[in-house]
Amino acid sequence: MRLTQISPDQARGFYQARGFSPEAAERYARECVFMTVVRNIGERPIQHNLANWRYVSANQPPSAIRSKLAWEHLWKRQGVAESARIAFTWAQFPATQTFAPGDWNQGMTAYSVPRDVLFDLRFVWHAGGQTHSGILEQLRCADETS
Amino acid sequence: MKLRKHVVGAVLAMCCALGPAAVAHAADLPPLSHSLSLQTPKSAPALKFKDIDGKTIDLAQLKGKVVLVNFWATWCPPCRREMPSMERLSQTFKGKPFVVLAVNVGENADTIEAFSSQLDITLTFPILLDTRSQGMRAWKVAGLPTTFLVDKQGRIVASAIGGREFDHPEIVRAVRGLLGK
Repeated sequence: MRLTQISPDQARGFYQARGFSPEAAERYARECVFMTVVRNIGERPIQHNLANWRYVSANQPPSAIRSKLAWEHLWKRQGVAESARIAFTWAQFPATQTFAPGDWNQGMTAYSVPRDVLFDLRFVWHAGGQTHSGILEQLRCADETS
Repeated sequence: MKLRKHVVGAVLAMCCALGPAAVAHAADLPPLSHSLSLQTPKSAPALKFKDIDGKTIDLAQLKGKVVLVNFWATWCPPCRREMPSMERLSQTFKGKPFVVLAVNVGENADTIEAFSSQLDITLTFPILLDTRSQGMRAWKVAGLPTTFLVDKQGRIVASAIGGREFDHPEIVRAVRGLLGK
Protein backbone atom coordinates (compact mmCIF):
# COMPACT_ATOMS: atom_id res chain seq x y z
CA MET A 1 0.00 0.00 0.00
CA ARG A 2 1.31 3.40 -0.92
CA LEU A 3 -0.01 6.91 -0.30
CA THR A 4 1.05 10.03 -2.12
CA GLN A 5 -0.47 13.38 -1.32
CA ILE A 6 -2.49 15.17 -3.96
CA SER A 7 -2.03 18.87 -3.30
CA PRO A 8 -5.07 21.12 -2.92
CA ASP A 9 -4.24 22.77 -6.22
CA GLN A 10 -3.98 19.41 -7.99
CA ALA A 11 -7.37 18.46 -6.56
CA ARG A 12 -8.92 21.76 -7.65
CA GLY A 13 -7.49 21.42 -11.13
CA PHE A 14 -8.51 17.80 -11.53
CA TYR A 15 -12.14 18.30 -10.54
CA GLN A 16 -12.66 21.62 -12.23
CA ALA A 17 -11.40 20.00 -15.43
CA ARG A 18 -14.05 17.30 -14.92
CA GLY A 19 -16.87 19.84 -14.61
CA PHE A 20 -16.91 20.77 -10.92
CA SER A 21 -17.62 24.38 -10.08
CA PRO A 22 -14.76 26.20 -8.33
CA GLU A 23 -16.80 26.09 -5.11
CA ALA A 24 -17.44 22.34 -5.28
CA ALA A 25 -13.83 21.62 -6.20
CA GLU A 26 -12.73 23.79 -3.30
CA ARG A 27 -14.84 21.72 -0.92
CA TYR A 28 -12.90 18.59 -1.88
CA ALA A 29 -9.55 20.39 -1.95
CA ARG A 30 -10.09 21.32 1.70
CA GLU A 31 -9.67 17.64 2.56
CA CYS A 32 -6.33 15.97 3.01
CA VAL A 33 -6.25 13.91 -0.20
CA PHE A 34 -3.96 11.01 -0.99
CA MET A 35 -3.51 8.96 -4.11
CA THR A 36 -3.86 5.49 -2.64
CA VAL A 37 -2.33 2.47 -4.33
CA VAL A 38 -3.02 -1.08 -3.18
CA ARG A 39 -1.29 -3.99 -4.86
CA ASN A 40 -1.67 -7.67 -4.11
CA ILE A 41 1.88 -8.99 -4.03
CA GLY A 42 0.81 -12.19 -2.28
CA GLU A 43 -0.45 -15.48 -3.62
CA ARG A 44 -4.05 -15.33 -2.44
CA PRO A 45 -6.87 -12.95 -3.24
CA ILE A 46 -7.30 -10.07 -0.83
CA GLN A 47 -10.38 -7.96 -0.17
CA HIS A 48 -10.81 -4.62 1.49
CA ASN A 49 -13.75 -2.61 2.69
CA LEU A 50 -12.96 1.05 3.04
CA ALA A 51 -15.74 1.43 5.60
CA ASN A 52 -13.56 -0.54 8.03
CA TRP A 53 -10.57 1.77 7.75
CA ARG A 54 -10.10 4.40 10.45
CA TYR A 55 -7.91 7.45 10.79
CA VAL A 56 -7.16 9.20 14.03
CA SER A 57 -5.32 12.36 14.97
CA ALA A 58 -4.26 13.38 18.46
CA ASN A 59 -7.11 13.76 20.95
CA GLN A 60 -9.71 12.93 18.32
CA PRO A 61 -11.91 9.86 18.08
CA PRO A 62 -11.26 7.52 15.13
CA SER A 63 -12.97 8.63 11.93
CA ALA A 64 -14.19 6.64 8.95
CA ILE A 65 -13.36 7.76 5.45
CA ARG A 66 -16.31 9.60 3.95
CA SER A 67 -18.10 7.20 1.63
CA LYS A 68 -18.66 7.79 -2.06
CA LEU A 69 -22.38 7.81 -1.32
CA ALA A 70 -21.97 10.63 1.18
CA TRP A 71 -19.94 12.61 -1.33
CA GLU A 72 -22.56 11.89 -3.98
CA HIS A 73 -25.28 13.41 -1.77
CA LEU A 74 -23.12 16.46 -1.18
CA TRP A 75 -22.39 16.97 -4.88
CA LYS A 76 -26.04 16.60 -5.77
CA ARG A 77 -26.94 19.27 -3.22
CA GLN A 78 -24.30 21.51 -4.75
CA GLY A 79 -25.67 20.94 -8.25
CA VAL A 80 -22.60 19.15 -9.62
CA ALA A 81 -23.37 17.72 -13.07
CA GLU A 82 -23.82 13.98 -13.48
CA SER A 83 -20.77 13.57 -15.75
CA ALA A 84 -18.62 15.29 -13.12
CA ARG A 85 -20.10 13.12 -10.37
CA ILE A 86 -19.36 9.99 -12.40
CA ALA A 87 -15.73 11.08 -12.78
CA PHE A 88 -15.55 11.79 -9.06
CA THR A 89 -16.98 8.41 -8.13
CA TRP A 90 -14.54 6.45 -10.26
CA ALA A 91 -11.58 8.59 -9.27
CA GLN A 92 -12.00 7.61 -5.62
CA PHE A 93 -10.41 4.47 -4.29
CA PRO A 94 -13.00 1.67 -4.55
CA ALA A 95 -15.19 1.20 -1.49
CA THR A 96 -14.64 -2.52 -1.69
CA GLN A 97 -12.72 -4.67 -4.11
CA THR A 98 -11.14 -8.08 -4.45
CA PHE A 99 -7.61 -8.17 -5.77
CA ALA A 100 -6.30 -11.40 -7.25
CA PRO A 101 -2.52 -11.91 -7.06
CA GLY A 102 -0.94 -9.32 -9.33
CA ASP A 103 -3.98 -7.03 -9.29
CA TRP A 104 -3.65 -3.47 -8.11
CA ASN A 105 -5.56 -0.28 -8.17
CA GLN A 106 -5.21 3.35 -7.37
CA GLY A 107 -7.68 6.03 -6.39
CA MET A 108 -8.11 8.98 -4.11
CA THR A 109 -8.84 8.78 -0.40
CA ALA A 110 -9.69 11.93 1.54
CA TYR A 111 -9.26 12.66 5.24
CA SER A 112 -10.80 15.52 7.19
CA VAL A 113 -7.61 16.50 8.95
CA PRO A 114 -6.11 20.00 9.00
CA ARG A 115 -2.87 20.57 7.15
CA ASP A 116 0.25 19.74 9.11
CA VAL A 117 -1.70 17.74 11.70
CA LEU A 118 -0.35 14.23 12.15
CA PHE A 119 -2.70 11.29 11.94
CA ASP A 120 -2.55 7.50 11.81
CA LEU A 121 -4.42 5.35 9.32
CA ARG A 122 -5.51 1.86 10.30
CA PHE A 123 -6.24 -0.17 7.18
CA VAL A 124 -7.85 -3.57 7.10
CA TRP A 125 -7.93 -6.33 4.54
CA HIS A 126 -9.13 -9.91 4.35
CA ALA A 127 -7.30 -12.90 2.94
CA GLY A 128 -7.90 -16.61 3.29
CA GLY A 129 -10.82 -16.11 5.65
CA GLN A 130 -8.76 -14.00 8.03
CA THR A 131 -8.76 -10.31 8.79
CA HIS A 132 -5.48 -8.45 8.74
CA SER A 133 -4.65 -4.87 9.57
CA GLY A 134 -1.80 -2.43 9.47
CA ILE A 135 -1.20 1.10 10.64
CA LEU A 136 0.43 3.90 8.75
CA GLU A 137 1.66 6.21 11.46
CA GLN A 138 2.20 9.93 11.54
CA LEU A 139 0.81 10.83 8.15
CA ARG A 140 0.24 14.45 7.37
CA CYS A 141 -0.76 16.63 4.50
CA ALA A 142 1.74 19.23 3.49
CA ASP A 143 0.50 22.79 3.46
CA GLU A 144 -0.76 24.46 0.30
CA THR A 145 2.48 26.29 -0.23
CA SER A 146 4.86 23.42 0.60
CA MET B 1 4.05 -6.16 6.17
CA LYS B 2 6.12 -4.42 8.79
CA LEU B 3 8.86 -3.69 6.31
CA ARG B 4 6.35 -2.36 3.81
CA LYS B 5 4.90 -0.05 6.42
CA HIS B 6 8.31 1.46 6.88
CA VAL B 7 8.67 1.91 3.14
CA VAL B 8 5.35 3.71 3.04
CA GLY B 9 6.40 5.79 5.98
CA ALA B 10 9.57 6.71 4.16
CA VAL B 11 7.66 7.75 1.06
CA LEU B 12 5.38 9.87 3.17
CA ALA B 13 8.28 11.44 4.98
CA MET B 14 9.76 12.40 1.62
CA CYS B 15 6.40 13.78 0.58
CA CYS B 16 6.33 16.14 3.48
CA ALA B 17 9.96 17.11 3.23
CA LEU B 18 10.14 17.71 -0.50
CA GLY B 19 6.57 18.63 -1.32
CA PRO B 20 4.10 16.73 -3.47
CA ALA B 21 5.67 17.63 -6.79
CA ALA B 22 8.94 16.02 -5.85
CA VAL B 23 7.26 12.79 -4.86
CA ALA B 24 5.04 12.69 -7.92
CA HIS B 25 7.86 11.40 -10.10
CA ALA B 26 8.67 8.53 -7.78
CA ALA B 27 5.23 7.54 -6.69
CA ASP B 28 2.88 8.27 -9.57
CA LEU B 29 4.06 5.35 -11.61
CA PRO B 30 3.44 2.04 -9.90
CA PRO B 31 4.69 -0.71 -12.19
CA LEU B 32 2.18 -2.21 -14.61
CA SER B 33 1.44 -5.88 -14.06
CA HIS B 34 1.12 -8.64 -16.62
CA SER B 35 -0.97 -11.23 -14.80
CA LEU B 36 -4.45 -12.37 -15.70
CA SER B 37 -6.76 -13.95 -13.15
CA LEU B 38 -8.38 -16.98 -14.69
CA GLN B 39 -12.03 -17.41 -13.84
CA THR B 40 -14.59 -20.12 -14.13
CA PRO B 41 -16.18 -19.24 -17.47
CA LYS B 42 -19.42 -17.32 -17.12
CA SER B 43 -21.58 -15.47 -19.62
CA ALA B 44 -20.47 -11.91 -20.16
CA PRO B 45 -23.06 -9.23 -19.40
CA ALA B 46 -24.48 -7.29 -22.31
CA LEU B 47 -22.25 -4.56 -23.73
CA LYS B 48 -23.69 -2.35 -26.42
CA PHE B 49 -22.60 1.25 -26.91
CA LYS B 50 -21.77 3.68 -29.66
CA ASP B 51 -18.11 4.18 -30.37
CA ILE B 52 -16.46 7.56 -30.86
CA ASP B 53 -17.36 7.44 -34.57
CA GLY B 54 -21.04 6.92 -33.80
CA LYS B 55 -21.08 3.25 -34.77
CA THR B 56 -22.96 0.91 -32.45
CA ILE B 57 -20.84 -1.97 -31.17
CA ASP B 58 -22.56 -4.95 -29.60
CA LEU B 59 -20.53 -7.62 -27.83
CA ALA B 60 -23.27 -10.14 -28.63
CA GLN B 61 -22.40 -9.74 -32.31
CA LEU B 62 -18.79 -10.75 -31.64
CA LYS B 63 -19.38 -14.37 -30.70
CA GLY B 64 -16.81 -16.53 -32.42
CA LYS B 65 -14.12 -13.99 -31.58
CA VAL B 66 -11.94 -13.53 -28.53
CA VAL B 67 -12.64 -10.10 -27.05
CA LEU B 68 -10.60 -8.02 -24.63
CA VAL B 69 -12.96 -5.62 -22.84
CA ASN B 70 -11.17 -2.77 -21.08
CA PHE B 71 -12.94 -0.17 -18.91
CA TRP B 72 -11.02 3.08 -18.72
CA ALA B 73 -11.03 6.88 -18.62
CA THR B 74 -8.54 9.47 -19.82
CA TRP B 75 -8.08 10.88 -16.31
CA CYS B 76 -7.04 7.48 -14.93
CA PRO B 77 -3.21 7.32 -14.96
CA PRO B 78 -2.76 3.54 -15.32
CA CYS B 79 -5.46 3.50 -18.02
CA ARG B 80 -3.45 5.98 -20.04
CA ARG B 81 -0.25 4.04 -19.56
CA GLU B 82 -1.62 0.69 -20.63
CA MET B 83 -3.35 1.97 -23.76
CA PRO B 84 -0.32 1.71 -26.13
CA SER B 85 0.31 -1.89 -25.08
CA MET B 86 -3.33 -2.69 -25.80
CA GLU B 87 -2.85 -1.39 -29.33
CA ARG B 88 0.29 -3.50 -29.72
CA LEU B 89 -1.63 -6.55 -28.53
CA SER B 90 -4.34 -5.77 -31.07
CA GLN B 91 -1.71 -5.52 -33.81
CA THR B 92 -0.13 -8.80 -32.71
CA PHE B 93 -3.37 -10.58 -33.58
CA LYS B 94 -4.31 -8.54 -36.62
CA GLY B 95 -6.22 -10.74 -39.06
CA LYS B 96 -7.19 -13.18 -36.29
CA PRO B 97 -10.61 -13.37 -34.62
CA PHE B 98 -9.51 -11.08 -31.82
CA VAL B 99 -11.08 -7.75 -30.88
CA VAL B 100 -10.19 -5.11 -28.32
CA LEU B 101 -13.04 -2.98 -27.00
CA ALA B 102 -12.00 -0.02 -24.88
CA VAL B 103 -15.04 1.18 -22.94
CA ASN B 104 -14.59 4.77 -21.83
CA VAL B 105 -16.51 5.86 -18.78
CA GLY B 106 -18.25 9.21 -18.63
CA GLU B 107 -16.33 11.18 -21.23
CA ASN B 108 -17.07 12.43 -24.71
CA ALA B 109 -15.40 11.81 -28.05
CA ASP B 110 -13.59 15.16 -28.04
CA THR B 111 -11.95 14.43 -24.70
CA ILE B 112 -10.91 10.98 -25.84
CA GLU B 113 -9.52 12.22 -29.12
CA ALA B 114 -7.56 14.93 -27.32
CA PHE B 115 -5.96 12.15 -25.26
CA SER B 116 -5.34 9.68 -28.08
CA SER B 117 -3.77 12.35 -30.27
CA GLN B 118 -1.03 12.71 -27.65
CA LEU B 119 0.00 9.07 -27.95
CA ASP B 120 2.94 7.94 -30.04
CA ILE B 121 0.77 5.17 -31.40
CA THR B 122 -2.56 5.32 -33.26
CA LEU B 123 -5.37 3.47 -31.55
CA THR B 124 -7.13 1.32 -34.12
CA PHE B 125 -9.57 -0.56 -31.89
CA PRO B 126 -13.08 0.71 -31.14
CA ILE B 127 -13.50 3.05 -28.19
CA LEU B 128 -17.01 2.80 -26.79
CA LEU B 129 -18.79 5.54 -24.89
CA ASP B 130 -20.32 4.42 -21.60
CA THR B 131 -21.39 7.94 -20.74
CA ARG B 132 -23.45 7.05 -17.66
CA SER B 133 -21.27 4.15 -16.45
CA GLN B 134 -24.08 1.66 -16.98
CA GLY B 135 -21.68 -0.83 -18.53
CA MET B 136 -19.37 -0.61 -15.57
CA ARG B 137 -22.20 -1.37 -13.20
CA ALA B 138 -23.44 -4.29 -15.30
CA TRP B 139 -19.95 -5.75 -15.40
CA LYS B 140 -19.51 -5.11 -11.66
CA VAL B 141 -16.41 -3.04 -12.18
CA ALA B 142 -15.22 -1.49 -8.92
CA GLY B 143 -12.36 0.64 -10.22
CA LEU B 144 -10.44 1.71 -13.31
CA PRO B 145 -8.85 0.19 -15.21
CA THR B 146 -10.47 -3.21 -15.20
CA THR B 147 -10.14 -5.64 -18.08
CA PHE B 148 -11.92 -8.84 -19.03
CA LEU B 149 -11.02 -11.52 -21.52
CA VAL B 150 -14.06 -13.01 -23.24
CA ASP B 151 -13.79 -16.29 -25.11
CA LYS B 152 -15.36 -17.19 -28.44
CA GLN B 153 -18.49 -18.42 -26.67
CA GLY B 154 -19.06 -15.01 -25.09
CA ARG B 155 -17.89 -16.08 -21.63
CA ILE B 156 -15.61 -14.15 -19.30
CA VAL B 157 -12.62 -16.39 -18.69
CA ALA B 158 -10.12 -14.01 -17.14
CA SER B 159 -9.87 -10.54 -15.63
CA ALA B 160 -7.29 -8.00 -14.59
CA ILE B 161 -7.66 -5.16 -12.12
CA GLY B 162 -5.15 -2.35 -12.49
CA GLY B 163 -2.85 -1.38 -15.31
CA ARG B 164 -1.23 -4.06 -17.44
CA GLU B 165 1.41 -4.41 -20.12
CA PHE B 166 -0.93 -6.12 -22.53
CA ASP B 167 1.72 -7.19 -24.99
CA HIS B 168 3.61 -9.05 -22.28
CA PRO B 169 4.27 -12.66 -23.40
CA GLU B 170 2.07 -14.01 -20.62
CA ILE B 171 -0.99 -12.15 -21.89
CA VAL B 172 -0.17 -12.82 -25.54
CA ARG B 173 0.03 -16.52 -24.67
CA ALA B 174 -3.36 -16.40 -22.94
CA VAL B 175 -5.01 -14.80 -25.96
CA ARG B 176 -3.33 -17.22 -28.33
CA GLY B 177 -4.57 -20.11 -26.21
CA LEU B 178 -8.15 -18.87 -26.46
CA LEU B 179 -7.85 -18.35 -30.20
CA GLY B 180 -6.71 -21.95 -30.55
CA LYS B 181 -9.75 -23.35 -28.79
